[in-house]
Amino acid sequence: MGSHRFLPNTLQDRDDILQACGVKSVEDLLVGIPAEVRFKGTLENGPALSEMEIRKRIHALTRGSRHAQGGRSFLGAGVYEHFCPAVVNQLTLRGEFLTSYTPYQPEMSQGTLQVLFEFQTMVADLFGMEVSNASHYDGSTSFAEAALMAARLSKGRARVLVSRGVHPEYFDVMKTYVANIGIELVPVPLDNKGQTSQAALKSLLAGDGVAAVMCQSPNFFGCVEDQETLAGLAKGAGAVFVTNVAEPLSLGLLKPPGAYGADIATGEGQSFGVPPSFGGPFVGLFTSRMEYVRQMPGRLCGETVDAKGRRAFTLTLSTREQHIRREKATSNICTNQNLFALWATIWLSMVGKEGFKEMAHQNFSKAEYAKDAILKTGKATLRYSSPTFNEFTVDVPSGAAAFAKACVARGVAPGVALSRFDPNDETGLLVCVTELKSRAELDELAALFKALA
Amino acid sequence: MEFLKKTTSQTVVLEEATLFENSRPGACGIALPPLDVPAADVAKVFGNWARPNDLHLPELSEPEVVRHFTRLSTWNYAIDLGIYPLGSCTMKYNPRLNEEIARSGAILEAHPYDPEEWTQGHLAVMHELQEDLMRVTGHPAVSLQPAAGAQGELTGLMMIAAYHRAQGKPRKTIITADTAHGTNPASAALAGFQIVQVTTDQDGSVHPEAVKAVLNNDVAALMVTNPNTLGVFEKHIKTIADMLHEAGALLYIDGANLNAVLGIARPGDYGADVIQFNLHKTFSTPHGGGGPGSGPVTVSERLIPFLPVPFVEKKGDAFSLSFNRPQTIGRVKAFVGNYGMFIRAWCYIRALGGEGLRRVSEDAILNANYLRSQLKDVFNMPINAPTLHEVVFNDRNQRDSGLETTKIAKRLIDYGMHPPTVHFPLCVRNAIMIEPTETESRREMDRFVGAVKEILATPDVEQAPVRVPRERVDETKAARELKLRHVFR
Repeated sequence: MGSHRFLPNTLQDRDDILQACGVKSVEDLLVGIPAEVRFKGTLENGPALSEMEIRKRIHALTRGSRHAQGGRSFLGAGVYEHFCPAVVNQLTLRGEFLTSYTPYQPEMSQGTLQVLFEFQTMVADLFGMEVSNASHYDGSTSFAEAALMAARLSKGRARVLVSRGVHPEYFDVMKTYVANIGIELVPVPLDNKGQTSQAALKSLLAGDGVAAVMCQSPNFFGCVEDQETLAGLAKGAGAVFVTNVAEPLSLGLLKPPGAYGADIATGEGQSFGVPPSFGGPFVGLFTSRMEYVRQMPGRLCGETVDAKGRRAFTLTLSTREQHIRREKATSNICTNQNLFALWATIWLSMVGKEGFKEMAHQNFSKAEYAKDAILKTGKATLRYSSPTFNEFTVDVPSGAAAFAKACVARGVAPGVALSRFDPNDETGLLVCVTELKSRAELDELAALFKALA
Repeated sequence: MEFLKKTTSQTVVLEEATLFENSRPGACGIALPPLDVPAADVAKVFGNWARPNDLHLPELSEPEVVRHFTRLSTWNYAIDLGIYPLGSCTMKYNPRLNEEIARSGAILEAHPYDPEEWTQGHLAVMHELQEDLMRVTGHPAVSLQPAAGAQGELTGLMMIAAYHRAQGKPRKTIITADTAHGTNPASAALAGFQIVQVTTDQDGSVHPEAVKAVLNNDVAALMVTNPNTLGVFEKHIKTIADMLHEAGALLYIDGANLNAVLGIARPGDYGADVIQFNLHKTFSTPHGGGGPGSGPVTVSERLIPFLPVPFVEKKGDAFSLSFNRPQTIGRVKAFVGNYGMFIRAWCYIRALGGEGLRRVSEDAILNANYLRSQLKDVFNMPINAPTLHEVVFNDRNQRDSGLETTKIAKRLIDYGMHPPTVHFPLCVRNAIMIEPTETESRREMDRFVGAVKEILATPDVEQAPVRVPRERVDETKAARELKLRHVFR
């Protein structure tokens, strides 16, 4: 192999380096690796391709994608398609943001650090909570770590009650996270309005040892929960109340977690203009009361001063973290999800206070319009009577999966068939409507129900 | 300070207030099309569940937002600006094509619940990446799901716990080495294990006798980075792997330093049962100022049943997500993993091919050994063993002149370059850990060497750094007087 475009060393450079090292060949530098463990073959990862060839390959592979096919989607279920101004993509391409490391050397990372301070401020404010961390992998892992933090806060208690309104994949992740550390997850069913059953919650709370009650609002089925009452029940039993906001744009209209007494509130920041990207990378949100800050997982950025007394920012409270505390850390998480915390920060500052409220209201209005239009076809019924934000569950008696498949053949994904999560749920379809859909597209969706359901 | 003058110049850096200080009522950065459906009534539908208090999101026009973040970007250092020799962090160049493709419409707009008719290409890329990673480690199975290296560790350790449970003999102890990253013990604790630490020998490797001394039938696995954080290949690894397996325990290899051994040594060949990748290190997906990472794991036959679900399966010409693993540990993350990072890593592997990947490791080793050759006469090298992609020094030779590790690191900042990893690994006092990676040119490495030598030759100067927008940052004050957000009046 001759030179490669990513590698500055020419063959001459390689020779010069070998000479500087006082050896004859690269092999001489590998003497520390015992012969018995050396790989004798060559890696079968194909030939080195040029940019042109890679472009052609990816183009050929994704020819059938929704984008290439011009398809439209009413899919949500934890991943929401929102408008993203061109500025966000452009600014996040700046090499100073894109190709820097974790800001361990604050003097040469003030850009990243100030962004994190701004991110923490905006997330905490939207959630009505006192403190936000610098972000987490995603919503599902934020929520799972919230269960661990809640258990730490209520020492000796090991039962965590989790509403069935929580995203099923989030529930699965939490199950994995607690499998080895003695925390028991107990699901709390929904009532016939699609909200966490207060009767079931009361009876589960009557037993001892409940560390936390964990809910999501709007919940997986789109229903807004009576969070104030649920929080009251949890606290009455001495449990920590944790809530998840999988669609935080809803906070433009709805009471935030801090206002109904959440102790820990998590969320998925994908909603802040982060592209769906087939499921990631996203950005997990993690907020809490200030009194619990030393039990929080993840990075925190704080304001301080430099040697000249000027305002400066730095990572702080690292005594909670793995690189200092090792097995006694509050989490094994290393970095935050910085590039997408930046993405969300730019998006939120572009959308701004009025834009955020207006976008939230458009989502709500369009979803209400679509809901009415679908119900008017007589081909589907509303499963739950609870208020919804931009997503709702309908029953398609002729079968949700079959209906969805028929629509896809016409270029539209009408919603997520709930049989994906529960094979017994043959009729449920979760429909999501955001500001990106025009009235004509909503009418088209209703027409598909009429024709195909 | 001739070298400093010759290689740097000082330029103006603009101050920038926070978004909240810049905000002015009435400004807005976006416009939405007018609402084309009837406005729904918030109060009527939500009653007292409606938001009672207003938001404090900033109000700024588009040009103000662009200036704000562009100015802040100039306060950052980055690989695109120069050498970033953080040991065990593998700060290599991030090819731009990967970024362009990962940000194209076909990739960005794909929803994880899109019907499989639309996602065949995405699943094909994932499947190919699965195959690529298995070829690199010599393992028979893989999960792309973990969100980052630390989550890959956790995934591997949870599989190890599940393996022992399935054998009917749960085990509670993980052996780690004193060269380990903090994530190793932290991940082990989260997977329900207790930790026993072994000490690395003076020759830079863990000795089988040290392992033997702590190996018993409660040991679930030994977890070690290879090559370790001294840049040394664990020379007894095969013997240790055999000892562990003999005792019913497993071997976890932390893949943080995989960049040293692509095509040179495969963990699967020497007995590793699980290894996590850090696609943001070895396969050049951008660090982004601290994430996102992506931490796939590959495993030996023993651990296949416990891998997370779902995974991509190929039947004939069709790809699908399979959940068929009855003994799985479950999901570690919603959806399929950090797909955007898979795309970038896939592009990177395609650009290099098998032979190029080996060349990557060779050049990484060459560059690190070049720096070693240039600095070995000025710095003390506490472990004098053959090193691969990184080299660890300390400040012993400098202590008399009052120059200690932190001071040297901070002074490098004034030369416009990022310091190496310092005070890690913990087994070396005042460590200075240097990993140039294969994407540094000799010119750039010589700039680094020149700076280091000038710093060491001029011990007495003002407290560095001074040629930056902010001088030494008061971290104690930050922790003592916590201010974690802007306070709105």
